[in-house]
Amino acid sequence: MSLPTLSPLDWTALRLSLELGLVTTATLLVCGTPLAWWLARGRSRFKPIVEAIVAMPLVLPPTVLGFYLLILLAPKGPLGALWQEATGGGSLAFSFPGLVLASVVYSFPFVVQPLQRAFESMGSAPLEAAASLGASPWDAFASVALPLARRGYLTAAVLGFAHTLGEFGVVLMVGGNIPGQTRVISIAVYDHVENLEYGEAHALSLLLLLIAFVSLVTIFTLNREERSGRR
Amino acid sequence: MARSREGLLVVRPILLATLLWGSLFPIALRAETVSVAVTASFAKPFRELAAAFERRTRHGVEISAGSTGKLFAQIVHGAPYHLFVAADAVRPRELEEKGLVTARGVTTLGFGRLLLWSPDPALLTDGGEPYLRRRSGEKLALANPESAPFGQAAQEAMRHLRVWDSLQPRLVFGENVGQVMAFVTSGNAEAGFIAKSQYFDPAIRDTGSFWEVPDSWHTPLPQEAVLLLAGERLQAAHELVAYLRSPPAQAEMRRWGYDPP
Repeated sequence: MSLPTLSPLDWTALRLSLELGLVTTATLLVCGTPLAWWLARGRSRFKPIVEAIVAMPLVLPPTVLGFYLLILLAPKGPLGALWQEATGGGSLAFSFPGLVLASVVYSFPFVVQPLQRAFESMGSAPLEAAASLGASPWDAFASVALPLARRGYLTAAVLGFAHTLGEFGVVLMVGGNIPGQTRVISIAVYDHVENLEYGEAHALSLLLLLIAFVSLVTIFTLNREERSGRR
Repeated sequence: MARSREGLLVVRPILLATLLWGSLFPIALRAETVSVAVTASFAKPFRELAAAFERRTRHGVEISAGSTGKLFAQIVHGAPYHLFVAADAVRPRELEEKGLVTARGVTTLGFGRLLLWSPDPALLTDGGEPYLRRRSGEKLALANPESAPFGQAAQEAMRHLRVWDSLQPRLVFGENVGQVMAFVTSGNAEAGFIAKSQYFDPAIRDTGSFWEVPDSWHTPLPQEAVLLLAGERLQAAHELVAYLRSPPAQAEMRRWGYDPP
């Protein structure tokens, strides 16, 4: 079976989506770790509020996120102004960095929550053991907690990546449909459908379908191993 | 005389009842809802026209706005609209070829005009040409040329000036002219190609600076009312088309910046 062919513009969209997914996932794993750690270990009474904020993108319509981002990213908006000062020009909306920011917000719970679960499920015993053996907190985290949480990290990475690839509404509102910059695969599918180019829409959709399926099979396999491993 | 007066006395209650009946029920029975797909650039004026039509006839009008291309695709796939108002001549013709339009179902209501508009009052004071030829600048928004007629017209105008290629790095594409307006008013793009009718929106009118693109630089933008097969048997749909062609409606369209058909 041969796959339907993709136009150069669609290849660009696919490459862009993959790049966006990778950069977003990497950013989220780095930024999400301390937060997930705090949520898993912390006893603060503000915890439910922070947890609610983390979970907000799950329930908010993408249009709400898109609307606020459009205002925040504008050259005279709070984030856009900062960005222009830091980079010396260029607008944050309609740019790849702008999309990364939008995707980080959008996929936040998909990375933070699995990490939080992983940190919670390991309990405090391994870290206490490490501490009693004289390990510094950072050492204990790096050599004990991180390896124990590796399945959580894998789940978080796969979910964050797949969810970013599936992003549509937010990108539609702040992207500006620029080839190579913000025209990601989901927008390309939308354009093809609007223009009744079903062959192209099929090719891209099938690809996304496969990526989503493989991602989810990976996660469920990991979950099963984890469960049977613990027994 | 007396007899006829008596006759009248007998007849009068019946007449009255008939009149009452006639004034209540036929309207209740006749009142229908027209479902209209309207191109984004025409959405606001159309809302006002529809409200006037509703006041006159007591029919209802349901409006769905989007780019001409998107609405076209929906109609091809069986969206149950009675009437389609497009901003170009191509899509109505294609619908006719597909047999989705009633006989003689396409009416030109007027012609749209393309504007370049910026909230910055100084940006376009020398006209649009020097601005478009400038080497640097912020983002410039237009609607997707593939699906939005005003986006296509903007592309043609920039090609006419031979600046389409050099402007590429600055261009951002809205789904339709409505999104172009959102990009520009939110300050994310410094200027955008919009429909003149959008400039005549009370919130926008007389703000910033604008430049009217010469209409010889692009394919004309006829605003076509297309009576779809689904609306063929709907009296209200026919009445709405007739109303849109009537002098009061046409005068309203002039006020929104449309050229007469």
